[in-house]
Amino acid sequence: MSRQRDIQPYWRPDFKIQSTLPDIKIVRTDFTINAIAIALMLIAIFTLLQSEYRAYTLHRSIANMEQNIEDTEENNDQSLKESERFRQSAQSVVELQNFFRAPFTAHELLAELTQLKPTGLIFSRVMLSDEIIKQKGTDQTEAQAQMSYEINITGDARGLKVLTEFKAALQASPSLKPDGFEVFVDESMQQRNAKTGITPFRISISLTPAASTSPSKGGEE
Amino acid sequence: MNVIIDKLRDYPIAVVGALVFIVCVAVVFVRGDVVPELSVQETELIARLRTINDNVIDSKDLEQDAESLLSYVASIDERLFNRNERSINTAFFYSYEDKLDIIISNVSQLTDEDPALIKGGPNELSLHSGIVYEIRVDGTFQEILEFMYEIQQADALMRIANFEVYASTAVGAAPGTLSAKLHVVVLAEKN
Repeated sequence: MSRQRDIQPYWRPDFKIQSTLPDIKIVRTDFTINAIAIALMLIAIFTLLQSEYRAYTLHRSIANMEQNIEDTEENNDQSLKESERFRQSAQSVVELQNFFRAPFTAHELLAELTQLKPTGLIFSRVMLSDEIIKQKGTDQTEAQAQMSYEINITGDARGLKVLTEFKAALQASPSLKPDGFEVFVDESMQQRNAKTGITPFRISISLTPAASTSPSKGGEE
Repeated sequence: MNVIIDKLRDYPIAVVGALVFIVCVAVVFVRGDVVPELSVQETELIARLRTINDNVIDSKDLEQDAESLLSYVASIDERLFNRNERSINTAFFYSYEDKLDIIISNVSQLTDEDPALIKGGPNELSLHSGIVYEIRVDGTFQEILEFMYEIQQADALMRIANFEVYASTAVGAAPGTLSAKLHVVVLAEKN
């Protein structure tokens, strides 16, 4: 082992011209360069063709849609005119609904109060009044004008029991609990007449709009 | 320079490939905006077409519905009061004396409109207006109730906005006679 390590190599000049020698790499350099160039070319051609094909299909699609729109434009315009005519007519009907908007009709209310009145109670005056109030919704939107109503009944009661009965009947009556309103019934009495046993009374029924979120308006055009 | 040209000559396929690559990249770059622009245009057209199709669906029987609604509107317009025809309007209410056994002591057309129906009111009217009449009636409870019912059912479009019914205090009034003060709002033509 020690003898082999002592042997020195024989030095000689290298006269090889590298460029003239054949390429003996496993994958030749010109193949690699050509392959890369061709791959890049193919990628570029593919990208270009894809982009052009997409543009072509978009052109065709747009042309088809424009043709469709042109074909239906006249009908659509006609429909829009009809729709506008309908909308204007509908406004009249909506106004009619607004005009009649009330939690009850006067004659029905009066009839209901009379039906609820127990024997022993005499009405001397029945009054319905309305008032406009501004009330904010729960979502703190701008205050909107709303209607509130008050029914005042004055009269004479033969005993406080009938008055209590009447108040309970008012509170239980479905006609006096319209949707969207909070109802509050309050009564007050004057001094009882000792001779007749009659107590003058006054009952107030307040209907105030219930706090609610603003309804959504309208639709898409 | 010659060295480079010599080198390029060694790889003619690579040179052609590179040239094609450069040309393709240039074309893609120059026409790069075309596809996005066309896509935007396509999206807009799709939306427009969808709107048109929705309109077609929504407008099914629209013409008949519009005609039907127009006849309703005509019917409403026929029933409207004319604010300036005071005597005709007042006579309309007095005509109930003949139909019902009641005494109408007064009918007055108030100058102020119902605040609920004016601009900013909760039941704002824009195509019509509301005339308020104060009507004073005397009669029995049944007669007054019937009058209120008839007002509500009248051909003219009206409703009782508020009322006050009380025991009559008129001199010589029969026992059981009631008086009523009614505020009747009538739908009228726009001023």
